[in-house]
Amino acid sequence: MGRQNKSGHRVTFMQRTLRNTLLYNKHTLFIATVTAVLVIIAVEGRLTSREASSQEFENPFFDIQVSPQVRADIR
Amino acid sequence: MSDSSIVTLAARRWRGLLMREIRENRSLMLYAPCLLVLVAILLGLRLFTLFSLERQTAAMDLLFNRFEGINALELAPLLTSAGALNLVFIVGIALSYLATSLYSDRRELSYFFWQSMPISDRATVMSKVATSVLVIPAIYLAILTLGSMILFISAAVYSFSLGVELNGLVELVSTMSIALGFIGLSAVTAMLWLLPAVGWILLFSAYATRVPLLWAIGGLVALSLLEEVVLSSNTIDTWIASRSSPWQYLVFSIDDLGARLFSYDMLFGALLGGILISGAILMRRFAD
Amino acid sequence: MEELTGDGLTLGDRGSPESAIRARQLRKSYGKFVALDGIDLDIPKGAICGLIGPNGAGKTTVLKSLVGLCDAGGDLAVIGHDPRLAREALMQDACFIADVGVLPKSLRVIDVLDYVDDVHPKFDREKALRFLSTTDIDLRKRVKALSKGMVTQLHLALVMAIDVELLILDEPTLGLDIIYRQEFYDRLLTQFYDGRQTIVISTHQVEEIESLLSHLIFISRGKIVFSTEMEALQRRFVEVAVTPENFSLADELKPIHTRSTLGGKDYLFETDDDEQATPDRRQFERLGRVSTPSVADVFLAKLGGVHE
Repeated sequence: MGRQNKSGHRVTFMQRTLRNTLLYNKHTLFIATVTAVLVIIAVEGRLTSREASSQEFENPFFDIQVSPQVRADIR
Repeated sequence: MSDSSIVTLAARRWRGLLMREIRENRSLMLYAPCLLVLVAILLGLRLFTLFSLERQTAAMDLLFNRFEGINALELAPLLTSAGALNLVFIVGIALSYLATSLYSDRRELSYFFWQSMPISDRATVMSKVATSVLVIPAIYLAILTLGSMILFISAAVYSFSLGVELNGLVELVSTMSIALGFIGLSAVTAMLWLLPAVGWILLFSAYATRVPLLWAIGGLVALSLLEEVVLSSNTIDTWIASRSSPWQYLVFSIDDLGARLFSYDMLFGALLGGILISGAILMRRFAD
Repeated sequence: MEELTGDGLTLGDRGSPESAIRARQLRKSYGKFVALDGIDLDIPKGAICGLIGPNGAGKTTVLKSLVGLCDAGGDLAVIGHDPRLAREALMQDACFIADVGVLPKSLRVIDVLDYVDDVHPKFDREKALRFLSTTDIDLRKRVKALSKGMVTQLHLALVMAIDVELLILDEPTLGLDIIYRQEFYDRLLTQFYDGRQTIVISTHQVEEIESLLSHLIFISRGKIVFSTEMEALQRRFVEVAVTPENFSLADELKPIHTRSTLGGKDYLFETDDDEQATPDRRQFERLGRVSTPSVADVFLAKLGGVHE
């Protein structure tokens, strides 16, 4: 429980804990953020056992349907 | 306060936030694309003048008459692919904009002015994200469209003076419009696909005390090296490689747009980008 | 050292009973350096409060923490908001001019106005334009092309056009020449302040703002050394120009500070109870010419105690 003020914000236990750990200074915050991302990548990789991949979509450039005449002219 | 006035206030505030980004980054967002398009036009003209009059006439004839009756939707991907380089420029402009976006106000100390306005850190950082994903592609596209129109009209006038008929004009104009639309869509899709990069750079932009872009790139290289040495794996490299090829961003039809935007990789990337962007938002409290 | 830090300011009859700013045990350190060492503040609504201290005393840190630009520990309520949690809501009703006074350099003056107009619901664009029309500022010029004085004028134009409850100014006239400085405070008092707002000004040139203050806080090394209402200050402190023959008599009255002058010494006395200052005054009048000391003199006397 904490104080409540006009703007309706309450300093909760959670906020106080965060302020004393992750939000203690810019370096702890930076390390926490990067670590979170790396952990998620590692866990996701472990869970799905798949690798990150490019988006694979049909590329109609290679099978464009134009009349042979036009195609000949384009080439 | 009525609902409509709340909406008006929010809309005005966002106009203010986005206009701020444009006005502060005129050279990167307006002048650089203009210069790029101008150079492209001049280069094209120079190449064109190398041809003999006969070949010039033939080329104009090809351009303005041979597409008569063709389905513009079929031809547009060809033109879109030809414009793929524009995506590289848009992404390049957006990422270099992001690198200084949370840094330059701290450096010039105007930070205190911005922070004395009733704008939350979240709104500030989200306005940078919106600028890179939507505003920069939109401005670039507008300039590209203008450049294409100038080129197209001069080509039409020139053809007319050569005595070339302009029968396929409608088809050509619609092909061009569709291709430009595809380039715009591709750019926005690319930026969304690159949300992890957007977040990464924003985090460094909020964190670094100098040259944030260099730190962002250096940090990535260091992490990948660390992974190689400690874990002898290369997940990070795979990650970077999977999002670097510009070809994957080219949108050729709106049919697969939904699949692109809501693919697993896109959403997972957005999650990581979201965490990094949150980090950048929280980092603002340490900006002084 | 005299213990005057405990309660900070008491509520004056000038303001409404509600405090504009209330802080308890405000703390902030940068690494090992303690910038704020348990600051208590009670500034009533409607006050014009001067925050006086030498460079590096923690003035800027106090002011930044009041507007949520610095993450200080302790209890803090600024016009009802906790600035660390609700800066956005707070800044609807408060304005801050930092000591650096930097506006975004690459923007045009008109861009800055447009921006504030768009994002601040309480900004009156016409009022700002009217103010700017009385200056030499060209709206089409970029901020980086303006002189330091003009940037301050532009800043003032923005601040005065926002209908705020609280205005916080950190060394607002630093680096300005005397004409701009005078004009700044003149306009602030005549065109902005109407008794409803609370103004907190930090400075190390107290003589410039002495006449406009209602409250005074001395700060040194992250602590409040002394805080008072101006009226009480004038009742409480007495300066006496003592001639040499009365030196020993004057010394017996335990001055808090002395200063040699031409042909004598200025003695500064602090009276015990400011309500019954009159009998004391007669006692002082026997020693020499009695006058009200300047804030700077009291400041020096009080701070001398801290540094010893």
